[in-house]
Amino acid sequence: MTDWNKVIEVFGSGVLGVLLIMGFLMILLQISFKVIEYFERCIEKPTSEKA
Amino acid sequence: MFRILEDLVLSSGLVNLTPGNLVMWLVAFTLFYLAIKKQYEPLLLLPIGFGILIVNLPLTFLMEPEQGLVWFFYHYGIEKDIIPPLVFLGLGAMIDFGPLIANPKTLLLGAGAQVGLYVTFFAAILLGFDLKEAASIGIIGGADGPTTIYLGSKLAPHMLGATAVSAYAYMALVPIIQPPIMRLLTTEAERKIEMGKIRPVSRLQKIVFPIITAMIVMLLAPPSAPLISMLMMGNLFKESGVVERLTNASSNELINIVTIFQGLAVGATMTAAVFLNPKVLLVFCLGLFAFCVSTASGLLMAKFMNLFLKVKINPLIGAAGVSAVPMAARCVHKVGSEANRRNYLLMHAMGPNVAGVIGTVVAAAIFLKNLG
Repeated sequence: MTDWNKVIEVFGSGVLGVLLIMGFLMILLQISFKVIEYFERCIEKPTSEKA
Repeated sequence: MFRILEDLVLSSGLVNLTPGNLVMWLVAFTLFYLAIKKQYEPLLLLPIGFGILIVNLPLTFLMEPEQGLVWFFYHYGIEKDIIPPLVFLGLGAMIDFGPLIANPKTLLLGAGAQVGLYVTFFAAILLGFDLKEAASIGIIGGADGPTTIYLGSKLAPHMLGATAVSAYAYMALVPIIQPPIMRLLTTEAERKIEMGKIRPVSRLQKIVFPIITAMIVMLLAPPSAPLISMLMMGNLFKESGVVERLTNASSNELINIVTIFQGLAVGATMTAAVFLNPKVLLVFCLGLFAFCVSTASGLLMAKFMNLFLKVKINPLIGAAGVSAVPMAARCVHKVGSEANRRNYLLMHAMGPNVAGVIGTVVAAAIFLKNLG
């Protein structure tokens, strides 16, 4: 006998879970890449000013 | 003399052959044909085919628990979860996540394609499979062999051979399965959308990516740890640029060795008694359904994102969200360039393509959390 409540729980938590985890990862990666770009620009500036 | 000959014949496997064994030989020969003549995923289909052949030779006892040679490969390699993570270590050392780092939004396309897994899970339940079997079938849509084997060995080991062969066979057929779905779900104008150049990615961003991804994914979905940790460690080896020997070992010798044992052990699970079952035919039909729905859901996700994006993306790249690296991305590029000769979508499609690998691991982890 199929437990339809469990089926719906697995289906719903799966679809939402994947989207949420990947979405959260996307946001964190974007933030960290912006921070890295900012620092890389800061490091590049004094070098180019010296030149 | 006659008695010696009689003993020889009676103690051989010949008298113990069953019609089921002969059918499985045919399955093995079909895989040999696909691998050698058609070159469909030969690295996997050849050892899988050989595994099927040798396990269906009577009295060899190769899969006899605690005795058979191949049983040890299966038990320690697959059942104990050693081989799929090692394959992921090699994959991580080979994959360039640059296109994904350049455009992290493509992670959502990799997630969108996973919806197909859960639709197939639902369809499999309707066709009479139990929850664990349905999850093992649904994961085929992720188009990721090691993850299919990893999840299948935990939830439905009796169907492992069918789900693994189905996943690898359909991966080889991506150039045939995907284009009609892409054309059906997009307009000519959408297929013509040009995408600008990918932004350059710094070395530091490439080094930080595997560390952050491993931490976040493992914190949010702990059952993904064996696969995602190895994938990201392999990638860190590659991008750090300081452990060339480890990168080479992971992406060459190690992955080649474990691929042999993975294929042989998976093939050896396909004995006549297990494989010759009407449910196996349904597994293959549902596997194809999973591939089609995952392709469609990735595409529809891209179209949905276009509703909110100022600079539109070509929705075709959503279809690459079903891992199958890099065939799905190549397929997107081909269909895109048919619509617009100036369209160069390959690198744009590689973003969702590698995001699909991460997405499938996350989907498998959620299945394991709920059903494991």
